[in-house]
Amino acid sequence: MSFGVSFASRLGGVLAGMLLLGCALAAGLNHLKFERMLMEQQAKVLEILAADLGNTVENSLALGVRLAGVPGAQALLERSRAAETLIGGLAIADAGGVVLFDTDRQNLGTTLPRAVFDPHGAATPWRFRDPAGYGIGAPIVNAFGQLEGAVVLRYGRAAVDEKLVAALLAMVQSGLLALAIAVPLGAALIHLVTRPTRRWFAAVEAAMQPGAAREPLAEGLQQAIAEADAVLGDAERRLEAIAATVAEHSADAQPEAVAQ
Amino acid sequence: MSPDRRLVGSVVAVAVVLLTLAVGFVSATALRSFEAELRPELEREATIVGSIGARTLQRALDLGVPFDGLTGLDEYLGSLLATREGVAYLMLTDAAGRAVAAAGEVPAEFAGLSAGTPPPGRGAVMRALGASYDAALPLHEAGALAGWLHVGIARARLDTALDDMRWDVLIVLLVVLLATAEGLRFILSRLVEQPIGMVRRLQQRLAAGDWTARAPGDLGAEAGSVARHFNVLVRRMNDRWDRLCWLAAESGAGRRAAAVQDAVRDRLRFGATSVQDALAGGGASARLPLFLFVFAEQLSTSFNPIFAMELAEGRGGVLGAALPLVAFVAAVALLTPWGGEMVARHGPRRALLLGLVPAAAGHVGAALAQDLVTLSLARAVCGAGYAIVTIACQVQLAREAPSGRVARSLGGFTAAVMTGAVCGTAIGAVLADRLGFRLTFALSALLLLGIALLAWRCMPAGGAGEEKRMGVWQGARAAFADPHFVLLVVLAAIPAKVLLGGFVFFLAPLELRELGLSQAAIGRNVMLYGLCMLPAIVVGAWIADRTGRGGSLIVVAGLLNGAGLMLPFWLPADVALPVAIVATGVAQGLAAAPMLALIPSLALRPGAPTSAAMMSFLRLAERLGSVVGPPAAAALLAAGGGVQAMLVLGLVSAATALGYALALGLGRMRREAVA
Repeated sequence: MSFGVSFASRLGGVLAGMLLLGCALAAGLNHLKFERMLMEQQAKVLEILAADLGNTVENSLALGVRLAGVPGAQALLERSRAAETLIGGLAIADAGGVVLFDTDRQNLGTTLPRAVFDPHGAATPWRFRDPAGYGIGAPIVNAFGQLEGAVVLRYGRAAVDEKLVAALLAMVQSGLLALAIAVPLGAALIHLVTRPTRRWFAAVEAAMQPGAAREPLAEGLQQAIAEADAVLGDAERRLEAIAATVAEHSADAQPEAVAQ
Repeated sequence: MSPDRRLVGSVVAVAVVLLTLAVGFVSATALRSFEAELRPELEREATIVGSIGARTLQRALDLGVPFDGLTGLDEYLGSLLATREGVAYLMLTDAAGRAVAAAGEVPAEFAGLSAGTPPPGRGAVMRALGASYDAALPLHEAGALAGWLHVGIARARLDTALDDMRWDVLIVLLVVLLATAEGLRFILSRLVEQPIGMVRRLQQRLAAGDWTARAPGDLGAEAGSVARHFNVLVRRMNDRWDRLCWLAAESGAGRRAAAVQDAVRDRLRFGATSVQDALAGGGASARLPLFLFVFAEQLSTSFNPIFAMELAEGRGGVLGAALPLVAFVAAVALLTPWGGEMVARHGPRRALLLGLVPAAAGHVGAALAQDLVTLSLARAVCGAGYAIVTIACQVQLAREAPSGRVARSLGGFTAAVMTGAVCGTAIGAVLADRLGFRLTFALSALLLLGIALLAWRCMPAGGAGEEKRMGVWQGARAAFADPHFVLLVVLAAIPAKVLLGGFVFFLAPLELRELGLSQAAIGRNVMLYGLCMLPAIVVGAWIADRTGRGGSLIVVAGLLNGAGLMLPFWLPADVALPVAIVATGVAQGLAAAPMLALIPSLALRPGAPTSAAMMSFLRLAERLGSVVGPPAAAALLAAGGGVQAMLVLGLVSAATALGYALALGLGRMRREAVA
């Protein structure tokens, strides 16, 4: 038989592609899911820390100290940042968003953008994301329930990324292992299950060759060919016989015509 | 079983087994590594909660208050416990592990750390204690270990998180399997089923003496080789016939030669202008575009109300959030009959391509929408496209259904819609998270472009019902003049959708929440419906095709659904509700294909409209049921509670099923009497 890639090979290729796609989808979707859960968990932990810092400042406010004058606030922020590696930066801003204390002292006196701290929507801790990274805000409320300011905690995703890469590598490794076993196995199984159909195709093709031997798998086709062959052969014989008879008659009649 | 069907079954089995094993292996690894990464994060949370509590105590000790002189400890620990969600207990022990103060539910097997346990340089000593993780933080007095503050994080929380994760991994596995199975089905059809079918058709034509056929020359693989040999054979025979004609003309015996030629013509047909047999579209030619279309449509399901609320900027409340959904559903319901009319007028392929235009425009409109009204209008336009495309695919599936496999072929419609919905919703949530709402809409529009190319390339053209074309209203009158159709709609289609909307999508989530299940657990329970429905569709279609008793199957399904909904009377709610959801899924799956399969035969009756029109009216009725279901269930819930509401819905299902059985029986008796 002369043809390009056989359908069994094509099916094997499709199966390999499906397996690759399936493993990639599983790894990709799980990776995205992990990312979401780990980011959520990290944010949750940092929210506890931000809220705790807010509580500490609120305790000072309860003693009658103004927010801008809370003793040791700058040191508290720097200590907290040093104690928790996840924290990228800490700041305390007043109700107008002006930064009063910040682990990055360059920011002192600047005003936080509304996307980071909106005094009207800061009744409970909130999360934000800006080009600089991720952040959590915790309100600072005085003893009268009035908003005095907020603790703003910034963090990155390096720790999460580290875990994600580890998980992704594990998935990629197992995916490659699965593919290394499943693809050849699939090709072999496809070769096996397509054997009857390949035989059928071969039989059909062979049955169409002139003078083909009997092909049990293409009996109907051979019968149709034989029938047409017989009908045409019979007609050919009959027409040749007619032609021969007519030729004889013509030959007999021609000398008479010449004589006349 | 024909070789192609056996082959398709075997290849699908091989693919599903290998895919399950490979994807399962990757998912198992994912789960393991996730457990390994998440556990320390949860333990860190316990440590941080503990360190906050310990810091206050440590400050007191640093200020010179002796450990034995600390007061108000139980109140302090109690207040700390109250503010921390997920903390099971807090306990203060001395350096020898003796309890000093406690708050929360301390496990019975709790034992303090023994004297001499070295304090960690940083963080806490972690250990598993019964149903909790215990984080012990050291307290120092004058440089020496004075005691431990133990923080217990309920292990149930971690286990629940991991359980949720396992389910999520399973759902990912399911999505991957469903999506790849749909793709494989299409490829198998193009690569195996259709070429084999074509070769068989050509053989049949030869057997019938038709030597005018030609096989397409653009096929590859074995089918291509067979096609080339076939064309050579046909050409050879045609050449012999041409020679025969020449011989007859040259013989000079016109009448006798013509008689010989006529004898050949009686048995065989030859032709210089031959008809080329093309590959048939097959059911897969409509099923994959349908799956992809529903997939594209459902990408936005998870965030549609959130996006609407964002655009409404707090105005309009919950009703505002529901507006785009209402606009979409209303457009689908109202325009479905016109969709049927369009399919009858233009044929499935052209109607599908036309339907994709408003659908894509709607997605682009949603992506660009700046306010709620624009978004709602865009979603209504999407709904118009949905109404046309789904009917077009349904009609194409009916057209391509092989004799004796109508129900199975039409069952593929419901299955494709369901798998598209499951996969689209799951992937859409991920995409929206990464790309944002607008880009996800834009991606849906792009996907529709791909579907248009696929349909244009793979779906056979034609199929317009010229002879039966009638307007929507005339079509509706003709359809509803047929009592069989009316009975099917009123006693089977509408009740089924009332139950689906009322119980599965409304009542069940509320009742499950009453049982104290988490949102994730409620979602999983509701998902049972789809998981049970998919195999039930296949089984129902197979039984209907094998036995030809689709009507009886619809009755059985209605009774099963009714019985399932009455279960809370005999079983505890936590068992009865999931079983009722399973029963509903199985029942709706069993009845889905037989219901659709009845339509082509009803459309053949004198005076009936086209199959496309009848299907569109059936779907319109189903939409009506879906709309009526939730408010009906809500009214029943308000009137008598959840169990009573389920009982009434169950009785409705059983009563309509019995009514349908009675109608079928009477019809059969009348036919027998006439016979």
